[in-house]
Amino acid sequence: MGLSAALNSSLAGLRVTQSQMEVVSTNIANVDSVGYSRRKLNIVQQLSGSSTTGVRSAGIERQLEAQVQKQLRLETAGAAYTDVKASYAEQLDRLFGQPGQAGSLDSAVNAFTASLQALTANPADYTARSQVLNYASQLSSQLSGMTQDIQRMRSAAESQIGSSIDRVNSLLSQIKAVDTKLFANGQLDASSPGLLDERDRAVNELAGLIDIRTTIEPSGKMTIFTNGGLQLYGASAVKLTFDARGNLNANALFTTNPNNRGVGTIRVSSASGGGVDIIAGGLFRSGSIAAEVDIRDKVMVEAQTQLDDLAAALASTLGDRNPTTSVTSGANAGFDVALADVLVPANLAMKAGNTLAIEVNTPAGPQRYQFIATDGAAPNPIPASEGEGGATVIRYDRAGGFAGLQAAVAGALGGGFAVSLQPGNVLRVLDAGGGNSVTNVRASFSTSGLTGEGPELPLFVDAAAGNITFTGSLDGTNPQKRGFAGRIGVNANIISDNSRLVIYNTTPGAVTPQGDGTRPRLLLERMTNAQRAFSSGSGIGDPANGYRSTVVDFSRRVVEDQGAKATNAINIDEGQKIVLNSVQARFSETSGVSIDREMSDLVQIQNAYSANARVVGAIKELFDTLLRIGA
Amino acid sequence: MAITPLTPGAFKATNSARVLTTTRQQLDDLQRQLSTGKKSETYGKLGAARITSLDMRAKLSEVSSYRETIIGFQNRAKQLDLNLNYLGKISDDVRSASILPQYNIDSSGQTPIQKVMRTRLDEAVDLLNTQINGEYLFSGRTTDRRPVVDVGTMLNGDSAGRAGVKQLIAERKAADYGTAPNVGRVIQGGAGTTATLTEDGAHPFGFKLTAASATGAGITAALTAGPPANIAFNVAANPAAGNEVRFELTMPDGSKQAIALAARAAPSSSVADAGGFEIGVTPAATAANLRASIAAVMNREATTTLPAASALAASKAFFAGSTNAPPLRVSGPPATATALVAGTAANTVIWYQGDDTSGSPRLTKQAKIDNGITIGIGVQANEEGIQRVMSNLAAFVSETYNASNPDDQGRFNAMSERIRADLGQQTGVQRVQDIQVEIALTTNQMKLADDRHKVKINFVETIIADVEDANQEETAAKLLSLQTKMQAAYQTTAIISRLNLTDYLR
Repeated sequence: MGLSAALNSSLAGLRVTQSQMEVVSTNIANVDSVGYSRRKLNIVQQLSGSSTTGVRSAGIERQLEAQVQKQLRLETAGAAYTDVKASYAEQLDRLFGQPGQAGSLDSAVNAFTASLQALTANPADYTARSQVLNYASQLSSQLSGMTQDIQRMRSAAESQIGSSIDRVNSLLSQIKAVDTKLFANGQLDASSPGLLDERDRAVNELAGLIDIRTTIEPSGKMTIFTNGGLQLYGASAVKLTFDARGNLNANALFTTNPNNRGVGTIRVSSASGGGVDIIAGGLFRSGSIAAEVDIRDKVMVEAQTQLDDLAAALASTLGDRNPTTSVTSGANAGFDVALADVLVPANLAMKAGNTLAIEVNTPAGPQRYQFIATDGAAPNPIPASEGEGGATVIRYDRAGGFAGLQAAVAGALGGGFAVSLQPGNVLRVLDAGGGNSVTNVRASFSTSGLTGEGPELPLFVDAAAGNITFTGSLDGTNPQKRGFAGRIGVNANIISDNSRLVIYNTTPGAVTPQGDGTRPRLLLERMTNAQRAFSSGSGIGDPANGYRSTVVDFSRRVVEDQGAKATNAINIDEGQKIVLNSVQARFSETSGVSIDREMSDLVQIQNAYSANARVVGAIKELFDTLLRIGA
Repeated sequence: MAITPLTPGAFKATNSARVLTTTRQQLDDLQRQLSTGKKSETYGKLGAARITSLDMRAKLSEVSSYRETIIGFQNRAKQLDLNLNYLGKISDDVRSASILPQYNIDSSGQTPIQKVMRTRLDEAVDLLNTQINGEYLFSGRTTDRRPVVDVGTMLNGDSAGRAGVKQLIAERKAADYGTAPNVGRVIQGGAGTTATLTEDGAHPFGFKLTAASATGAGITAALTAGPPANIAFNVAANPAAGNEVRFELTMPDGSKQAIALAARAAPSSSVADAGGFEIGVTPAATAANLRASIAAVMNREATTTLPAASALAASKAFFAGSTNAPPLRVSGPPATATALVAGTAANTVIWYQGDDTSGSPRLTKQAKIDNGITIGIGVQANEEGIQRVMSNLAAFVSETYNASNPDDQGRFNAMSERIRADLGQQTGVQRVQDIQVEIALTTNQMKLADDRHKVKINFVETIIADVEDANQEETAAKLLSLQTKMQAAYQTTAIISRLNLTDYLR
């Protein structure tokens, strides 16, 4: 090997160290860049035939562990999911107010109950009466305020889904754009780690929105699937659409039927139109979009249902009559139910949405039936979630009248029981012996007037619908209960005449005295002592047997349930964050730029450079010596 | 905390910053706990104790509202006690004035004590019309209705022609008296050796003949119970001097007057008077004397005890009246009346305008003062004890006397005697004091409940504090240790951030 060969090697060394310096400087410059992974210049010997003739760079390599990267994407989706859920849960938790402070739901219920107690002691006291109305309207506005907040959060989730979908689309087109550059020559341009980083960055961000799986083909092409199995990117990028709705209300719900759907859904737009309904198909399982859909369609809807249940219970516990009496006839025992309307005896007292619950014991075990009245427009059959948990829900069309109801009850109970219609349209349910017995019969018939129907009082009404009585009607597109918490208000007729809190009879000669405590006592008793069965749709208690408690107790269970869910969501999120953090730490160990490491590399490179330069200098001296000899 | 895109190169720095921020948040939360004294701002963050907090808050609200009720009811009970006490005093005063009656009539026909009692009647009505918080205390559930009419209307009726006590008394007196000579609605008869007394019909008026007997062998007595009842005395043979003919008159107010007529040997001061009769030559003559004696005694009773009894009976009937059960009055022309008929609101003053439909007056004002304890402290002015005071008082002040009428002192005394008996202690009869005792028992019940509530509130508040309140010492200690931890972390972070190879390459 001659001097010129040595000079060539040194010059190659200088060139390579310069390239190394370039990589180090890029690394240092990008220490804070999102998605930048550390690069390294691979150096190999320059072979000429079988002998080494110098050194050359073998390309820049990204420092990346593919397996960790995959896990990182998975955990990012999970963390985004729990993060969104936790932040909404926290908002929902705040909605119920500070413990013991005015403005919390339970203190509004307690204050209303206490005002009723004060009214029982002083029924004639004007102040006591106006206090009851005052606390009643505070309670109702608390409920409607919370409803508004819940629906506002749903609307926020809805618009968030919209912007997330826009982001997904733009990320997918970014990925496509990067890929176009990467494959400009028909095959992967391996010399562009920057482009690869750019593609990974977009994919990572996408992983936060949707839970995705990526596969890299040997050619370097990437395909993206959701864990639900939808291909988002492959030969081309799909375009997702979201038909966002404006301000959501309690009646705006998700259904698979596009005609009834009150909220937006995500679709894959395709040339053939229509496309797959992603929410209906459950194709997004994690990531922030799935969390927002969950918030919009499950978490908030359930919270709303609980408030609606509470509002409905408030209205009907105070306003509904239970005209049942126990009766025995010979050896058989059972109950009588006065079916006739008090004001118009020719009419059925059971209004649309009112219920008649019958509990019996048969040799085969206890049975529960719940008849729900309709004017014909209720769904057929009525879903079990509308009834008490554990009861067989039976739809009864009021067009059948008294006799029809008797026939329906007789048909449901079967041969072990004698169901008859007594004079005055009194339904009699008796056991027919043989080990059968009627355990309980409970009617819940709404009163609509303020006087003449007994001490029950429709204090809370469907105010937003025009001060109409709450009967729980299932007729029409939306059941009356849905969103009732947002519409509940104090009966305007009582506000204009608060003596109706006491006076329940205005028949001359039998006028209720101003100081009569019958009605206030009944209202207080109904609030604090009367057990009610709550619908199995509220998610409180065991769905098989339903939840039975007083209204006051139920209100506390609602607060408790939501509080527990909030804590749970936050705890899960904290756990997920820790997992994400450790994966990020592992990923950063390999791919992160460490200034210290770069600096020590730099020292090495400097040394190598000066050594090479020194060799060049030595060769120059040798050449000089040679030239002097010749002179 | 939102998910931020990963920057692998800066992970260590951002991560340590994140840890520092989280710790800082903990520090802020501890500081909030220290300043607000509350562990958490939401139910969610209270943890499992939130159910305790919710339940205890509800309990606290319930017990507090019981206490408020009790305070209101205690005030009411205090007022009731005062009023009833005063009514009881009025009752005692009327009674003591009747024990030693002073019969000194002035020109108006009344004794001074009657005039004093007239003002006491005003007081009584005033007491019964007492209001508390704008509610009438003695009106039962109709707290907005003044329970008792004013005394003038009560006694004299009103301009609309409604009859007051005085008119009812006058009617009753006339109905009980009947027409002379058959005074007290009893026909005096007999001929030959007999003397008879026969009620003039089956009706509630006048004397009722309820017993007859004779001592000695000469005279026989026979009572036919009726109605109408009659008594027949037969002088079969002349009685011995000192033998007595006895019979009993039951008065309209239910009091009984026993009459004893003694046979006197001739010659005596008079042939026959209200004290006895002279034994004649023949049994028929004796019987004639006996008839004269009976006439005298009947006349005496009909002008003394009978009008007093009539007045009381009428007054009692008047005060038994209420809006749904107006008082019973004499039907038709009094002297020949045979029945009582309920008056109407149009023709009779109804003294009590309040609630009269409740079974028990106490239940007209009730409240729950504890779980399962409901008390009643309602009072109605038409309760028996109050009615009794009012009716006696009204009868007492309604009567006028004529100094020149020799019978009127007897009537005055008969009235006093009846009032004394009626307002005295009687078994099975409610007095004002009994109402007072019932209220006092309830007050005691309230006090016991209130004491329980105080203890319970204390207990519940302790639990709430345990659950909701941040322990100051514990929080301060946590704050301190967190502070130390953070200082260490800050220092370490600062040192490590300075530890950079770049600085050492010169």
